[in-house]
Amino acid sequence: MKQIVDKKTMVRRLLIRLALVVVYAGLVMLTFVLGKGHSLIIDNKDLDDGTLTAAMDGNLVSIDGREASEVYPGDRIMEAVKGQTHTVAIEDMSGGNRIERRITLPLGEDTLLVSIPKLIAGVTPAVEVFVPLNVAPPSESESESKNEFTSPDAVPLEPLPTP
Amino acid sequence: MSGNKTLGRFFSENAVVIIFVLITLAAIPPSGLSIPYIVQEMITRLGRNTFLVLALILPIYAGMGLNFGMTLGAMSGQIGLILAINWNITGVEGLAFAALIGTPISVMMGYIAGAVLNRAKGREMVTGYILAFFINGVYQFVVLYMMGAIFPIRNPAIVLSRGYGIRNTLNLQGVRQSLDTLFMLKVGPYLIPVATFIVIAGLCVFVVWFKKTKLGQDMRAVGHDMAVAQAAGIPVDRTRIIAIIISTVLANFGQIIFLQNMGNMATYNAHDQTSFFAVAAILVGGASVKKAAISNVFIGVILLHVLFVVTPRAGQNLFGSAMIGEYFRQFIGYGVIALTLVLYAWKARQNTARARESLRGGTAGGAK
Amino acid sequence: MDKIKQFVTDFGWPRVIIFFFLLALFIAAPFVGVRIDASISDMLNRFGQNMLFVLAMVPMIQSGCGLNFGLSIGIIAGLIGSTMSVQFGLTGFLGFFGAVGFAIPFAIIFGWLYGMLLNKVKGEEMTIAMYVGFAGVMFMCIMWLVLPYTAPTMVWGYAGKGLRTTITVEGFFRQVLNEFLAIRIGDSFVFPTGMLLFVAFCTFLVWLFMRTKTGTALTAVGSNPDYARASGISSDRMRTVSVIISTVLGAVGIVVYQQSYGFIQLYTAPLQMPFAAVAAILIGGASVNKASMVNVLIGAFLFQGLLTMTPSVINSALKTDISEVIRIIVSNGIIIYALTRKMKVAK
Repeated sequence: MKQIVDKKTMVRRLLIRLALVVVYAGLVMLTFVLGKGHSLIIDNKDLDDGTLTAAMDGNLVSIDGREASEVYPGDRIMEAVKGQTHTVAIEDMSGGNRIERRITLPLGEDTLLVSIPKLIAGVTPAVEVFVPLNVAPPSESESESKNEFTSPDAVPLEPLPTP
Repeated sequence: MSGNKTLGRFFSENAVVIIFVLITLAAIPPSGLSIPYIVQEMITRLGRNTFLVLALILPIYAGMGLNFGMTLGAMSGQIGLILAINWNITGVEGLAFAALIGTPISVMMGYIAGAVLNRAKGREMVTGYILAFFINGVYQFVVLYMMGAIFPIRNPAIVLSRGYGIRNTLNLQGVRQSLDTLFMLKVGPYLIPVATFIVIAGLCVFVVWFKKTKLGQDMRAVGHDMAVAQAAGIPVDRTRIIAIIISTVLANFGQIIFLQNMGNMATYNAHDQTSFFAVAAILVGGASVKKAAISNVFIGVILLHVLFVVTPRAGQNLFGSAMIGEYFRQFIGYGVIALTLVLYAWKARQNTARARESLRGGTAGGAK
Repeated sequence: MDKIKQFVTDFGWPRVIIFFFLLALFIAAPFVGVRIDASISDMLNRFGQNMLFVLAMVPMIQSGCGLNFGLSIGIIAGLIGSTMSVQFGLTGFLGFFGAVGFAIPFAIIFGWLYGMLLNKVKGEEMTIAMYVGFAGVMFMCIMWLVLPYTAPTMVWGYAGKGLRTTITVEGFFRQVLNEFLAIRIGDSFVFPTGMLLFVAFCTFLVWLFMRTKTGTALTAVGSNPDYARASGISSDRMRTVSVIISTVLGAVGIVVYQQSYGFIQLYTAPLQMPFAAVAAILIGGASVNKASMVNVLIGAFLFQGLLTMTPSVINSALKTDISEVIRIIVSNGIIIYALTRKMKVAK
């Protein structure tokens, strides 16, 4: 049933709808950026080109104020983070030297390598893309369906293959 | 004399609730489950399922019966989650992202569902049920064949080994219980996901407010009598479609809330039982095909899910078989929907018969 | 041109589309390596297997009870019959007719109760039928575990209690009908004469019945309830009769299906069978309140043809198994199309 409305209302409706679309797009982008997760690989190895060496003593590394992990020379640890900017705190276990560095993660990449020697020396960028040798697919675990209506060995309510 | 009659009417009005409470109470002792365990399960399941059940209220209000087509909304939410996992969006933001992506899809789905249901007036429930199967086929086509092939998926961990199509089980590690743990309160020995309940409360407020708006009133009129509403100038078809659209979008959100609590998603099956659980819950709570209140939702979710927690164990202990408990659970579930529908239809016929008789002045009607 | 258009409108667009689609599949078959004679043989087999289910839809549609989504109830009666037949070790034709014989009394009782229930809920039969069917299947699931069956081929190995999910009828009544007077041409073509004869006979019986006084009364109740009432026909009784017949056909149907397929499928298998039968009769041109034998034949043929040809041809062509998804979309799409037609009010 088309109702006859005057031009003013039509324009107003159009504007409101446009505004809604803009707000929607904005929200999508906002949640995307705020929620984007990354896997950080914290690395305390000598650099390949030999310019910097690993921090000799063990270090306590904490990201965003979380519980610190021990990173010895040659070590690599992995942490999952959410969002684009983070603070890395490196504390020398023996000397009590504590450095804090801010890092910004590129939006597009998933797994990133953070090099401790680079952070300490203040070389930017200390973050680079991590290219894995092999992406091991996760094992297909049987879904533990505690709340599904069917029990594990009952046939679920789906079309059965016809002979 | 009249006291008996009112007691009888109380029983017939609330038959399903009473039967349920009795069966549940009877099943608790043989199940061997402790009360704290049951209470905690109840809290968890309330948080997980209530939103979905609330999504059923508006279509009932608009006279369209039980919206079995809510599965379409659930599928939309799942697509949103697949994309969120694909781009590794975590936490509550991930849930919001999934919900946002799912919204335009569910609006479109709701529109299609509403239009189809409008062409099947009088047979909405059956049509909605079959429509859910139909769209399930489309969903499977998109998720099993198009994703990864035509629609690029950048996260190889969620793709099947053949190179296209999403895996059967998606680990929702990134968003697992994000909403629940946002604000978790410990009261005594119980953990309460306050944030989730706040969201649910928000929906309740929305429903109450909506019923007071002009659109809400229109829906009520349409639900009451389509011909009268049409005569009063209400765009009946359009109002019905809007009711379904809102219900579908809510189902979209509800399914995301459900899945974030579960922690993983059975990509091709998670939505199969969604409408069925929700419909069973609202019917158990005392709603009918034509009338549903928010109290029905909460009562129904508690009753249904406590029964589902307790009966399998009881069946196992009583009959020595876990399978029997499972089947018994499903039997009760389907049985209660059938029972409620029967009671409702029977009462409706009795009312029309009574009305007809009063019109005729009580003379004996024709052959049955 | 007009006559063609008229024919198409009468026949229904979906039917025409499906017919040509099927034809296209047949034409494409040899090009993708699918043997036509094997396909036709397969199709005839499945056609016979499922015919009675589709036939079972007719009585209830004609009497105004709508589409029988609760066919599971009849199937359960048939399952009881066939499990009893295997339990008693009946083989060959005795096994088959024994199963049918055991099943029919159950089917009559179940149908009678089910019919009484449906009479109380005129107007919402289809949804309720669905859930009564589901609840019934679940109840039987418990029963299959609990009933005292003892035959070693039927029960679980260890405990010796409770029936297996799938029970073979090899050695009992497997293929007894199919093989009867079967015509073999070459390696891959078998014409299941016995089964088709039996099914044709049943169809003939139903056709005959619909012409008897009771049959016409039944149709009157569905198409013109006021006239029926005025003629003194009890609408409730006729509806119950239609439900009983439908249930009995379902029971016999599953026994025919089992002898052809080779297995008795218990537990949750009956849940999906009604939907296939509903889709078939709707494809055949029936509506929610009118169905004829022609609808049954065309519908069963087209639907089973679709189910046979689509997987084999498309899978061979695309080298992937897309058949299940196509089946879901097509069969449910047909049902929705039929449900959204405007119907003449028949209440």
